Amino acid sequence: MSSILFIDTSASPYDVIITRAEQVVFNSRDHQTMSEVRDLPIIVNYAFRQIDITPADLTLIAVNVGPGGLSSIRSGVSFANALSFSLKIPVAPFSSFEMMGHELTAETDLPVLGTTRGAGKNVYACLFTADQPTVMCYGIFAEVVQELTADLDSFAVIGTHRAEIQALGLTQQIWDSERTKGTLPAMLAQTDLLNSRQRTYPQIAHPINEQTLETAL
Amino acid sequence: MTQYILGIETSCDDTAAAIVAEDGRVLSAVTASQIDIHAQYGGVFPELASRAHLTSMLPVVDEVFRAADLTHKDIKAIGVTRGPGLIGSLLVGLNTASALGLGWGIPVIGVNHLRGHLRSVDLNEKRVEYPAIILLVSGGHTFLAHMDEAGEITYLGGTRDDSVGEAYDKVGRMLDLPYPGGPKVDRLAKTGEINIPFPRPMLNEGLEFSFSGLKTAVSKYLRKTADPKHEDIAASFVDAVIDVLMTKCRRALKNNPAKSLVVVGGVAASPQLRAAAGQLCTDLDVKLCLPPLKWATDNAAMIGLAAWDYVKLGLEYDPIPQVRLPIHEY
Repeated sequence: MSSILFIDTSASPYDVIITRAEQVVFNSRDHQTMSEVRDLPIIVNYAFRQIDITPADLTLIAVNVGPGGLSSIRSGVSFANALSFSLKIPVAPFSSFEMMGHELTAETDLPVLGTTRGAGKNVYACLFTADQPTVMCYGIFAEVVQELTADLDSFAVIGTHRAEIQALGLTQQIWDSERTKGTLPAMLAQTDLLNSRQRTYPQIAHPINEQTLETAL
Repeated sequence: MTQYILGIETSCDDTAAAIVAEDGRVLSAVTASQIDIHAQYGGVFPELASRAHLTSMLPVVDEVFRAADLTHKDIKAIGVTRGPGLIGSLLVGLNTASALGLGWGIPVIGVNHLRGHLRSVDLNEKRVEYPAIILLVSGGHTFLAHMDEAGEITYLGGTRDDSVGEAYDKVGRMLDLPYPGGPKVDRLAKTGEINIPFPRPMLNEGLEFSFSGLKTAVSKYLRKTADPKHEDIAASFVDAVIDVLMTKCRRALKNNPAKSLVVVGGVAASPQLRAAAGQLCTDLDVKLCLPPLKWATDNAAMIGLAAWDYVKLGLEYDPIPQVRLPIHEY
């Protein structure tokens, strides 16, 4: 029976979900005491005290590798890699943009343009289309948005720059999702994607940064 | 069955793991250095340090078990540096240790990095006789402390600005020496003459230190001197540093009960400092305790041995990062 630990530390509060046979048996959002905790090990240890599953029952660890807060993403990825190593089970990386895209697939068929902050005037941006590989870019905000959307008639926006994208004066039709990020439950049904990403030591998950856009997933 | 502690250290720019027995024997120790990554910046670049830790951490842990021919079943607990240190670097080690502990079902203890340095002297051989005066001199820290038989530590005085290691590295850069400059300054100093009267900051003031003014004096001397002799600058700078450190150590040894002088931290690898400390201890008839050179700089064996102290005392400090952590805390 599959038991999966899902980890998202891209932003505060951190999210931890554990599923068993595709049913959620723990969701940190249901536990008020965990909402202010910024230490992932505390949340995960708390989770295993609440349920009748032990770490040894896990069959997969799925972890958000970003982009997001630099240190917070590295915390989640370090934890996921080491738990994978110690339990000898696979780790499967997914991105903040896949979380954004899958968040909106029930509401729209439009391609989804997601953005998160980068260093200085740079942003991470991604064009997400269901069942197609995601295309991620890093660079100056207006330049990457225009590059990713040049061939589109219309698209949806999600992320931290929705207002700025709409203020760029682009000719395309833009649907505002009114959301700043995706949520972890959006990944629960993505078993095919996660199975295709499984890696075991010496292969590990790597955080997405400007140097690893093409290799992290 | 004999059990060991797995030590993990990632407070700055070394990714390290070691397996240590209760008596201080080091069964294996592996360190992945980041010197090549930071050399082009002339100092540690925190974001790159953190990235490199993540890449190296598990291979280092894997290798330390292979080198000792042990498995996680031989490990009683994991000791991991909880601070002080760079937050991004600490987080990688702490999250890794926590997850290993969860997966293997063993406790994880957050260890004060500074206490690790103090214990580095007893690795592989018991050297310290307590009570002791401790001089910690590294790239991040410079202070004097008193430690009694029970492990109680009293802070005596520290630097108000730059650490000794920082001053060494900055002077190394001024003299066009590649990073890390400290050991190269010492080597260059051996070829020069002590003929420049650099200041001895705070020489007559208690047990506090200040190295910023000395560093500035070197910079000013270089600017105003035509055709300066770098080897003489290095020799005169090292002489000033050693003079200040030994004057403070002498004062601390005279004013506090002590059987040993313990000199630890990366700068404890300095041959000039080791020689001067040896002379001071001969003069005052106290035992000089120096870590073997391989344990002078940041390493995980010292964290593993310090973690044994926590186990014996029943101390359970959570593996949560503390960017600032004073020496008297565990």
